[in-house]
Amino acid sequence: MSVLLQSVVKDYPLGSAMVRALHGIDLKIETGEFTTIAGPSGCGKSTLLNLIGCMDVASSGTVTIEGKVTNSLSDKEQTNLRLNTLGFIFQSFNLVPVLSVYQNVELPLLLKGGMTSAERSQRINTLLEQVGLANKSNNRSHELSGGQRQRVAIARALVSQPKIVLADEPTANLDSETGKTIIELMRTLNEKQKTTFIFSSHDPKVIEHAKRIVRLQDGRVIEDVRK
Amino acid sequence: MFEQLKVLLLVAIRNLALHKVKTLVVGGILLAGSFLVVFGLSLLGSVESTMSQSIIGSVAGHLQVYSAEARDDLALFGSGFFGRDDLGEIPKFEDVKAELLKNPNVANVVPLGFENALLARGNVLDDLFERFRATVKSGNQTEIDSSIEVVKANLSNIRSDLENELKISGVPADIKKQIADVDTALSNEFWAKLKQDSETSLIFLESKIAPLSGEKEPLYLRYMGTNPSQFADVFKKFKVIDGENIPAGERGILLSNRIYETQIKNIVARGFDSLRKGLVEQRKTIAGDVALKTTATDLPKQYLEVAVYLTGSKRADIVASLKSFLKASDDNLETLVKQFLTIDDKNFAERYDYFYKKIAPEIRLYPFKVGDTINLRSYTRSGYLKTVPLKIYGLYQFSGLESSDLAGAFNFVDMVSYRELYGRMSSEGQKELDELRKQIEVKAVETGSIEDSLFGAGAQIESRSENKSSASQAQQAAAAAGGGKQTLQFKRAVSGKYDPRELDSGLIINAAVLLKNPRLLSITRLELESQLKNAKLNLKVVDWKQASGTLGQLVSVIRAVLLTAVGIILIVAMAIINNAIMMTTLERTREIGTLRAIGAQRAFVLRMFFVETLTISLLATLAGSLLAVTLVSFLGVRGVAAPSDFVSFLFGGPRLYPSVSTGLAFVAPLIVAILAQIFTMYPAFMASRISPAAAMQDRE
Repeated sequence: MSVLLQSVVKDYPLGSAMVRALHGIDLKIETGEFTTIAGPSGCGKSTLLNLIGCMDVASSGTVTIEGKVTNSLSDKEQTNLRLNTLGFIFQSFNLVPVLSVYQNVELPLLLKGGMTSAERSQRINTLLEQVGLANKSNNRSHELSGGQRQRVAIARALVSQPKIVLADEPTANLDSETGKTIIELMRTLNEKQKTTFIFSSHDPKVIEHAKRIVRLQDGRVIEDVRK
Repeated sequence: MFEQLKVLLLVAIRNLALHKVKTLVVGGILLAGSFLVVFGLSLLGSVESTMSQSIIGSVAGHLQVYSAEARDDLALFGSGFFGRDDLGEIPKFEDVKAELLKNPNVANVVPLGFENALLARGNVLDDLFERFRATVKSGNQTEIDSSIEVVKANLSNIRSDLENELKISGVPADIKKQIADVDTALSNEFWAKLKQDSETSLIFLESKIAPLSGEKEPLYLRYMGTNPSQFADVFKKFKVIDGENIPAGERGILLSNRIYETQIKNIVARGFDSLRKGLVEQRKTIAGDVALKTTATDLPKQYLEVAVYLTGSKRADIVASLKSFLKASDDNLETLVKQFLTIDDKNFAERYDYFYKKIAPEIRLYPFKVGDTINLRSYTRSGYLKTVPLKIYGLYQFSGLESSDLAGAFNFVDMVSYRELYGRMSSEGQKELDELRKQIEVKAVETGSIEDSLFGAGAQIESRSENKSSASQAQQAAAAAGGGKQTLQFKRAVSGKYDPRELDSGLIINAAVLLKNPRLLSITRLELESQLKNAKLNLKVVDWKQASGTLGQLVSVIRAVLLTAVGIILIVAMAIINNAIMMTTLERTREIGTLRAIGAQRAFVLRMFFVETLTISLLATLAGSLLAVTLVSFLGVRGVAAPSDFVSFLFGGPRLYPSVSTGLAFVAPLIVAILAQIFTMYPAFMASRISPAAAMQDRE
């Protein structure tokens, strides 16, 4: 099992009041699944992804990632979990603007350490080829189109060979055609590498590519279907 | 780790390049700060070193010792206030010297004492009539006739000056009387009488006419008593340039060449000298410089200082020569000299040459020369005026400090004569006084009852003398007891020799201590203090900086000002750095969140900011330091000209050749860089607290 959420509640302070973003979520995601968290804006998609991504802690309930209960982990342990087990793809790509395509992809490997430059180079080049950017490795992010940037982000998310890749609205800033190619690319990589993919989206065209759809509304799971 | 550092450095450099304005502002301020520290401190360090050599090498030595009872601080180069400093006294130098020499680091102890003296100077007419008297007594009729013409010419000048004065004077009666005297001297009867009774006429001129040209201001001479031969051995910069040093066992004075040239020399010659310095050495112009203009304007008014010396055949020669030189038709010497002394930028060079070639050899350039004897007048401690005739043995200067008024501020006298001017008697003088006392059968008077015995009970003449200068009071008592008869006034046997050992025994005011190892100055100072205390000698020990008065503090003050300025610059720089990083942190929230999300630890974020600050601060401060080193090295070869005589003392000569302290060139940038790191801490810490969830904030 890859991800296990049990009675997860998340409250946010809003002024002096508390707002409940998630109302006791129970969710189990198996290794290698290609899952989308769907729902309208404000339904709690991002909050859920943040909890799975160890970027936030649940107010109650437990979140277990690859067998580790994340609630009680220290900041350092959570960071290590993100570094070694998780990969992230962001809606706005979030590339480091001052680094080249190659250097952006290399970053997680440098943070992780333990690899020679040749080993890194081999892995990065293979990935850049898979995302179709082998010829752009020296470009800076501002020289790329939105689709190309998101491919770089995908390569960066996969480079440390994580068990789970989390993507927050990965196609929201792309046109529908490009969005479609990106989802297809993710799906191909999911099938090839058996990496668990969890992505949030509110775009029906994107959602239809998912193998499993978890629908949220007002912080509750209202539908969970596998295709 | 190395790979990580590489990426940190890369991110840092790219970010610095991205925010060019911020980088330039912060870098520029850091560069300026570092430049200022290295350049300023190098220069100051060089000045301090040359100045210390000037001070230590001229009179101060490494340490100075003086009485702990002194009411004023020792200030060898002047305390900045007029008047006489009360420095107490060291009654028995021999004890102090013996005690100080026990310290293994003490190489030499030189006795000193300084004081101001008056030197009366006759006026121009005094000189003229003195020479006229000699001519008259010689009986050479041609010379006498020629001299009479000169005297008459001068009398006419004085008469016209008096006429002018009469017009504006508030007491015309006095001036009318003076004019009448001049008229008497100008009359034919007066000159006819000269042939019969020269003495009466000469006395009339000397007593009635000479005072009319005004008394010259007396010259103030600062003199220092010492052991002359020891002083010359110990202070290596000291050089006798004319004559010889005062021999051991002899009384005498050694004049400062600087004072001789700038205060004693003929005033017209001095005018030419100072114009030459301004025009030739400092490349100024008379038209463009107020001080030079004043000198040039005053010069023609001093014509008498030249004219009075030109008598007899000299007079005709100079008139002829000046007429052709000036292309003038006038035959009057005074008019010609006035015209000659009217100097401007164009005619200066040739007139300077002419003056020194033709005129200077014919006039008295200096009122006294090496070998002459001068009367030094000084107030003793008990307040009466004392005159001691002293032979001028020579002229001295301090090598490298020839043009400095500070280094040449003293004239040296032997310690025995110093004590005499101070009011102490030499053993030889004491003997003589005892002899006198016997002759006039004076009774010994108790110090405490002198006033009573002289003026009756209740009178007060001098409250501060007490038993310190009992000899001088005894001397006063002796004179008074003799019924005030002039014939019994005590006359000093100044020509007599003294035992050279007297130089090192008895009263002094202060002593210079020379060390074998000057690096141990502070330690030795403390050692000497406790040594003297244990020996029950109530003395202060100060280093050369303190001993030189305000001058010694100068560098410290400049350094404090510089460091304050640098401190302010750095505080501003640090505030800007702090602010800039805070701004950056806000701007880069999502980037930092992303880094945290993909697995960067907080420490990585911290390091990222530190590397960024370190990069800019090291680059900027090293560049600033390099710039300073280059400039100082350049100046070290070329030299910095001293803008004034005062500065030449600080520079230890006419030019300063500064050198860089290598340590400073590295340490200063490092300190600034470390400071920058400290000021990066807070914003960097704030950045490291950014949640990885910030990566999710959708702000493209």
